[in-house]
Amino acid sequence: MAAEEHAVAAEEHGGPEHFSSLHGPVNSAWEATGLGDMTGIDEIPDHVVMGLFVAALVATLFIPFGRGMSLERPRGLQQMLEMVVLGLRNLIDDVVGHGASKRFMPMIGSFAMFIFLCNITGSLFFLQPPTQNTNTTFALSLTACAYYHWQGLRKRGIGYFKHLLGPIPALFILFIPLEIITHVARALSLGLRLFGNIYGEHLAATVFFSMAPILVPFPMMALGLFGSVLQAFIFCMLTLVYIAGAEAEEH
Amino acid sequence: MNKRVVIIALIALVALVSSTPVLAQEESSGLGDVDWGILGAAFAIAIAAAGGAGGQGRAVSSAVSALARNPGAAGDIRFALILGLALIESLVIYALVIALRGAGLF
Repeated sequence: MAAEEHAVAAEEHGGPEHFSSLHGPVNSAWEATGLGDMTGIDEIPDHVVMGLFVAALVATLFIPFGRGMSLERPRGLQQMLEMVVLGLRNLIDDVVGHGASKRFMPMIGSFAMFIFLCNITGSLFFLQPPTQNTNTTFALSLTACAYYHWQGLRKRGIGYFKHLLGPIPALFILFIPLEIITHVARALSLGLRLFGNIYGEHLAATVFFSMAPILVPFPMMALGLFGSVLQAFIFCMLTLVYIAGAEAEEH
Repeated sequence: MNKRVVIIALIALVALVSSTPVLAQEESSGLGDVDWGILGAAFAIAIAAAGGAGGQGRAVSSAVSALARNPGAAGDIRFALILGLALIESLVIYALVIALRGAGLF
């Protein structure tokens, strides 16, 4: 009962239970098409709406931009994005090994751009970050985990599963549960870290916003911008560390 | 220094434990009105933040002194530092998630 009361209180204060301004139009369009009755989905949740919006934003911004770039006269945005791509490439080469950036750049770059733009939408008052919902963050973390297992399998073949047995062959029965817990905890911590940071920052900014809508929440929002960059970076870096661990012959 | 911290913590604990029956005597409704979820959330995040801050402070101080000794290793030190900070922070974030759950916000 107390939980419900607080949820209602948070909603009245403009808390995280508020919907983004995209939620209403998208859902009325969804009702108008009549697909809701056919598929049994009455309402599209806000984090799905926002996640699709960010995905469309990434696609419409960056794909035409990559085709239209100029080698002779790079413009401002192109130089900025080149810096980002160069930084990511250096990170991959440092963590996984030289020459690895060509293989992992598509996945890691997508993670970086998507997570960064997801986090940054929390700073706009009429949008809600999709990453403040555990469904989004666990989708991302499970994708990352499936990806590093797949990369390990591709590099080392069926021998990849040998690392589950641990370093001492005689004690494999003790190591199997430990290694399984390690892999589950990686997925859990990747998802929960992103969720907790973004949700916490957004909640704190909302509390400051409810005190005074101008000037007071600005320091918190600046911290949120910093946190958005940092969380996207940490997600990519941890994924790379796991890939490097999966590809290494010995731990 | 350590002894002082322990004494302050003990005093706080005693004050907390002894204050609840006093409050219960003053109010006729008793302990039923205390929202233990909020109280637990506050203590959880306070203890977790204290521990995490101590750990992160040690990590940053070691990283800065290592950086001062050997500025050439800046890249490696920064990598290890950010990785360690992320892993320490994730423990505090677990406590935050539990605290949010206890406060009924999530």
